[in-house]
Amino acid sequence: MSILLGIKNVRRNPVRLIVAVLLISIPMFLVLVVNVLSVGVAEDTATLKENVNNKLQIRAKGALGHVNMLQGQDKLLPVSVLEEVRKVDHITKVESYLLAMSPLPNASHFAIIVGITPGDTKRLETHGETGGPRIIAGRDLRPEDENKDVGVIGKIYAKEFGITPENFKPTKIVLDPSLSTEIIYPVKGEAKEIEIVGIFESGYVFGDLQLFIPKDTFKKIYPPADNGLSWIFVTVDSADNIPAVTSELKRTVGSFADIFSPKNTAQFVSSAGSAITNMSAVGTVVAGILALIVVFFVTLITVRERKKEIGTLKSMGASNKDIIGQFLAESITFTMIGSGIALVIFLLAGNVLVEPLFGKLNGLSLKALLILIAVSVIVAVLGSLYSIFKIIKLSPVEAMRNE
Amino acid sequence: MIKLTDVIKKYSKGSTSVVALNKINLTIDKPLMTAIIGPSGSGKSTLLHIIGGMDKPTSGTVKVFDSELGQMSEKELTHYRLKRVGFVFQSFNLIPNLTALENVMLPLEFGGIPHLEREKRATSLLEQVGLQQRVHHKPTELSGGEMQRVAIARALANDPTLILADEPTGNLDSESGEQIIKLLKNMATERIVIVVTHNEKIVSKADMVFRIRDGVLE
Repeated sequence: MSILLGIKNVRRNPVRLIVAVLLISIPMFLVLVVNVLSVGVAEDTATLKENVNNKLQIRAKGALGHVNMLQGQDKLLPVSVLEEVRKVDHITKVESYLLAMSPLPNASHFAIIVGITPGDTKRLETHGETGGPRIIAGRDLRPEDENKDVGVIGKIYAKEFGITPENFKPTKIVLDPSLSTEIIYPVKGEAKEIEIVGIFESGYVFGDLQLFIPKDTFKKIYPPADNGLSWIFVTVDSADNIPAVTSELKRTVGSFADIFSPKNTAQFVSSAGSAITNMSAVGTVVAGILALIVVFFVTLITVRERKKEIGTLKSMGASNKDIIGQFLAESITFTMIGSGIALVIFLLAGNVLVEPLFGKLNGLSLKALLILIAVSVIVAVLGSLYSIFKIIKLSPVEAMRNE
Repeated sequence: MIKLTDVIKKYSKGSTSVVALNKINLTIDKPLMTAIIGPSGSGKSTLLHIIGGMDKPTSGTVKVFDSELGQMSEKELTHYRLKRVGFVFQSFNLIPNLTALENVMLPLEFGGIPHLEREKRATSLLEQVGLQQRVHHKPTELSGGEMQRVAIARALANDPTLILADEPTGNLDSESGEQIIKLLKNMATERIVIVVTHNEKIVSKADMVFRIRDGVLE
């Protein structure tokens, strides 16, 4: 009955109850808003973290990794790196590439030939991190193109062969590894006819000077030394794990490879997500402290008013546990009523009140509701402990005398 | 049996020490109604509180039913008040938002009695004090005499062997006072009843009377 008495006691002073629950409902409304916003942002950032550029590029130390490039740029990664990389936690995908340079037929510039596993992402030489070439004529490479002498070509490179998107039809071009320039040296591979099955556009001039062919075809034309690899791209499961994966890769393969991590969106999303989570925690704590102050003063006044009654209960044999239970039940009850009012305000008018400041709110999540309940209980308990422990220390006579 | 030996109780009031009880020696060894009388501030209520385990003496021994109260821990004193003692106060001290029945059920709940048994026993006690029609009334709906009868029923809830009443008729008219004296007298057939009072009628009905003045038993 001490618990029931505590719950019943809530109604003893209706004016105080109304003032207390209204005062508590304001910070509790803030707790709800902050956590609903936080849950919404967390969901958005979680999606972003999975979808922003979570790729790390690995290349032989100090080299671009082109199999036929002079000036020491032809250093390749040993194929054993693939095994090392696959052992690292949080890596969800590993893609390897081979690159060679080929002089343009009618110009002094060169194109980049990229050996790719058909189906893997087509990466652009100068914009490896953000490359997103799209097919504008014909078709893309497909898994069944493995081992076939086919390719998709950038629209500027295509133009060199008179192939345009407007009158596109599969056309054969020749890749000759014996050709050289001042930065390209000839390699001992077989010249091959490649059937162009599609044209892509990347938005970058340099990107549109690339040709993607199956890796096995590439190896026949530009055999890589020791079967090495030009690039490896690894996909990390979340932007949050990029620093850890980078550090692990540096530890395992860093002695002979450079690791390039995205320094932009992924890190921003990760740090923004953490900042929002921290801010919502701070907001919850601040709102909780405001509610705690209300509970503290309400309980302090209540306990002072009922000193004689507490003395009477003690004289009847009420234990400290009974007294504590009664007052905790009372403070939890009125704090919960305050939180209930906050919840009703949130459901009825949350968007009207919050939208001008923070935009449209997501719906109430279970997590936000549980946080509200937990904060209410914690606030009720912490806010009333001081007053309760002060009164239970008194003997029954002292409690009654101080009335 | 109650036996107080050389009980002294001092209070600190600022820098001065006030002697509320000065070497009290008192023995009550059988169920009877004992009245303690004396002027205001003489130490009557303090004596009652010490016997009831609500306060501790500064020195001396208080032995109640073979238990030395001064040796008891807080927990043991709580148990002593719960099981052995029933208090009746001048201003009734009922819990205002509980009904008469719920007020009487309170000490039973502190004693861990199951709900149904509590309700049955509390109803029976209220019948014994003639309040069977007022069971579900709250204190504000009861007269002074009725409130004091609820308080007496509550004091009897855990069937204590000692009833301590502090000016039980102080706030009552003479008719209600008579009823309360009658109830207390009836209780004294099975229990030790100690009444602190100014009421001459109680004194006349008491089996034993102690007079106290300036903390000294005369």
